[in-house]
Amino acid sequence: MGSSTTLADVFAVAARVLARAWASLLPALSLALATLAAIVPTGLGADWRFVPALFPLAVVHYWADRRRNGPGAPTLPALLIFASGLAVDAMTSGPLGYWALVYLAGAALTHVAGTRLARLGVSRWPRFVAVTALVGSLAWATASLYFANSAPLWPLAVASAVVIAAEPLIAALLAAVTPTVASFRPAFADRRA
Amino acid sequence: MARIAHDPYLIRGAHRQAGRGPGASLILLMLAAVLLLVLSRLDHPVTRHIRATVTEWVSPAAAWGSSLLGPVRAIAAHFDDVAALRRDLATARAEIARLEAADWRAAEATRKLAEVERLAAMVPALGATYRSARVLTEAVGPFSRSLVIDAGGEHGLRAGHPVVGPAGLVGRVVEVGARAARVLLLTDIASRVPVVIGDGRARAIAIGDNSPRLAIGYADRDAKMTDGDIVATSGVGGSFPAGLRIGRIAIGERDLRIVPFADLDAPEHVSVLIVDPPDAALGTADGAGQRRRGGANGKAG
Repeated sequence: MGSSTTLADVFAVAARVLARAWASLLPALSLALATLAAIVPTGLGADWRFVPALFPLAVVHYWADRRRNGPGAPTLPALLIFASGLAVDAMTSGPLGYWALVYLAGAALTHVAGTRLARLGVSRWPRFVAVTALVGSLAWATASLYFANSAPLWPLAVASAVVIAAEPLIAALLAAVTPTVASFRPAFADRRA
Repeated sequence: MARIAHDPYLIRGAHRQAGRGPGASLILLMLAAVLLLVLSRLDHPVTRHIRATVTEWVSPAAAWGSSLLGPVRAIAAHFDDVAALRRDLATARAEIARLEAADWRAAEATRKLAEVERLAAMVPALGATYRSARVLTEAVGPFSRSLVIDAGGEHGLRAGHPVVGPAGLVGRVVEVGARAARVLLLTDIASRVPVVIGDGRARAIAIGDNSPRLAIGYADRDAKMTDGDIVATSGVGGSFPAGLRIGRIAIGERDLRIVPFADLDAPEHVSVLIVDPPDAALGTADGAGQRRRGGANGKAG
């Protein structure tokens, strides 16, 4: 490169650095927004009260699923997932650790079950359906154990159905705002050259 | 798909980590979450402290988000309102149906009350005592026009008593039982009622012929009758008190007819004028007191 570096190249590199920074911030930012949506009062009825709380799960799944793509892919740190769940627990006056466990279990199941399903050629949305079903069961079992009583299943089922239905939209939204590194790859390729 | 095809993460790292399980940090944090759950169940002071701290940290963001999501909440509230309104609408529709039924019943009761009140107001004006009765059955066929009412001899009724409705004369009692009586309507073929017509007070006989309108017979040759003239009982013969309204003259193509004021097709209540003897005149127009047993219609019971 050397003397052939132009101002346009500098701007291009700066833009790509910013894009990479945005890409690395995006998982945390999206989870923070989903968490915010889960904790702000929405005025939903009793049957719908779990719906906002399950939206972070869709975000967690999206980023955990992308993590399979490689070590360079934007990821959600487990600590952030835990913090998100803890915030939802604290702000909704629920048992502390409940949503943290649910979200972390969602990430773990995406890693384990999602990967295996991906190997079988199952696409992302059915994988999310499977993960949500497992996480929903875990959430119900945990709540039942915590309260030593059978927890109501209906609100969780409704929330799971709504989040499953909304997941393609959330994934498309996140994919739309995630910068593709391919656009600035040639520049680095030039530098490597 | 194009985006995925060009996604370097996908290209470079495809399945490189596939098969890698969750990281150790994930498992450790899951254990921490379980521990927190247990402590929370035990209501350990640590959980209260953590909750307070997290709440303090998150509250500003929650407040900001809450203000930001105000419109969303408004939309949710709108849908709740719509659902509530739909429920209210269904309830209101049921209520309207119930009220319409009640309204119909009230209107019916009001109508009956007005009918009875008019009846009650009309009869005292005649200066006679009366007995109101409900119509039990009506025999309105090709051969007769009569009613059966729920008052009879036990109530002071006798054959020959005039029967009036809210609008005018209906007929007269012809058969009396203990608690029921038969009333011969004006329109019966056997009915004959002496009348005066219009302001000229032309005398005639209103004749029933089983049709809804009464024929006019024995009218003065020089009598002047115009359409709409009021027809009332004359009191001649003493069968009916003078001045009982009967109907209005209707001039047809071939003859004159009297259209009765009273509803003779489906009366519900009538009043029987109690006069003793039944065919005694009640202040007849011309003072005639001629008794004629059997009445003008000639069907004494």
